[in-house]
Amino acid sequence: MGLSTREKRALGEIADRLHAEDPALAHSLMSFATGVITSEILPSRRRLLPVALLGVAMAVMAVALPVIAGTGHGAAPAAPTPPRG
Amino acid sequence: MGDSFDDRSKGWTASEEEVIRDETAEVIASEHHKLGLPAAISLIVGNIVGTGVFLLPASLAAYGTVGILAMALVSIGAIALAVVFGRLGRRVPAGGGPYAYAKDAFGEFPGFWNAWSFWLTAWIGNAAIAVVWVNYVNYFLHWDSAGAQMALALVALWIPALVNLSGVRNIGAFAIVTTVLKFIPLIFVGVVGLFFVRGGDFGPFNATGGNWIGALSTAGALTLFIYSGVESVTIAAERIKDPARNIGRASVYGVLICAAMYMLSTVAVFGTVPHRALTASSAPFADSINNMFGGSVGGGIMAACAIVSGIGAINGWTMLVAEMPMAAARDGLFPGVFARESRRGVPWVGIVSGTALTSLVTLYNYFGTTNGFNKILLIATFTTVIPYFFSACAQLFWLVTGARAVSGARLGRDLAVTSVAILFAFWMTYGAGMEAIFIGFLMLLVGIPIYIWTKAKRGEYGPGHEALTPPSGRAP
Repeated sequence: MGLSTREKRALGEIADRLHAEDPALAHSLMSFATGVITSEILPSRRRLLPVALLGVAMAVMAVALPVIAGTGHGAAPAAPTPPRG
Repeated sequence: MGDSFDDRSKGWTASEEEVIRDETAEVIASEHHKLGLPAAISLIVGNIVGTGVFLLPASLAAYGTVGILAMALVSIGAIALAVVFGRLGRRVPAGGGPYAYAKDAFGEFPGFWNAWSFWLTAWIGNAAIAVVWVNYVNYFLHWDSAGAQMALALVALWIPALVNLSGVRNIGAFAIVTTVLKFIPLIFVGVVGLFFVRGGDFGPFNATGGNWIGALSTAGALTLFIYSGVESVTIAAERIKDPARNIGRASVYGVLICAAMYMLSTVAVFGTVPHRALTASSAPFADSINNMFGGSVGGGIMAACAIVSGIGAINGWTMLVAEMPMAAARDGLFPGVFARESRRGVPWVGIVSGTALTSLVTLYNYFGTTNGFNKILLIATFTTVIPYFFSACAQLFWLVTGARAVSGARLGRDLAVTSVAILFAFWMTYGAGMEAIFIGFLMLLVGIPIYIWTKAKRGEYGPGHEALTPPSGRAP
């Protein structure tokens, strides 16, 4: 999510003050943007495999359910009313 | 308690002790007004079992006994969903349930969309319960004019609203009483009915004439929504004692109780009412009792049971119709007025406005067109599913990103359960039907201007002229 104008201005003011009061620290902090920017462990491909399989399963369901029900795409089942048990 | 308050307070000044005592008293009073595990289970069971259950065996009979198999499959999906909600409730024991999960995993807008979707579901669905409730009341009263029926519907809606306005403890007590009263006849039919079962009454496995897989799929679509309300306790998390523990237990126990009741009672009704008679029945439970014991008192007993069941369900859903927007309003994602609480600590604006909107929809049923009313109900059918789908996906997101510290066999098990829940929610979306999805999606889009309005009112982006005065040397 993007930062609001107020937040951007506040960050800008902090950066300005840091540059003015401690140029060495400001220079050091700038280097963070050039290397690895996060220390969090990123999900491995192995962990993401179930997500991919789930996407495939949902695609199969989207195509197969109308066919299995014998109604085709033009006639999904009538909605149950009332919608609560 | 091992040590007394006085023992622990040694060394503190009198004013510090007074502050600590006040805070302790507030915590105790706060906990005292929360719902324990039995009330939490009652809330779930009460919300899941409304008035639709009383016609369910007749609807399923049209497909044959394959309908029982379909119900079993749906029950497995619902249990998976309950387990996922339990996990989510432990991770984020915050009010709003699906709203909080979607917001935490995917950001503010999906969170808002879930809150909006559920809010629509809650107050529109109550209109459906109220209209069916009036039909059961008229089993005894025979008030057939539109005005009289509307008056009865208002009673069904505003008595639970008054209970809700009177405080959380009364909501819990009402939920427990109505759940017990509705459950006794249903479980009686389910258990005692098994002793009267006749094999010949069950009818064919597949009564549709088509292939059995198609019959299974269509019967499944009919039963997909019988567990709507499984999320109830997650939404009212702030009203639950020890939410991190009790949300999961109440969700799973509640669904298991309902699953047992649904399965037992459906098998019993199938086995005590001849198939041909069951498909044409407008009161299958009453027919079952009459066939078991003779006479015709079954109709009155089950009508009374449906009356209690309906008003109990409206009580629970009225609570949720206010709790969900309150949670979103506190985060500035719903109009702030919904966050206001009365002296009794209930979100009175949500209760009153939700019940007023339900009353208007009900009014449309009696003084507008029945077809139009049914179209409005379709909105609730689709919007029910959105929170389920997003919540299950939020759980998957946390599992695969490693935000939940699980690994090995436990990770595999959690992924499997979550996948079943997601596919179940996806099946529910299909089962909602094309027209429900169409109308429901339009209503989701209607929420976007509300989101813009509430977000703009937060003032985070400031008045327009701020963008013209950036800080020195830097672009805004």
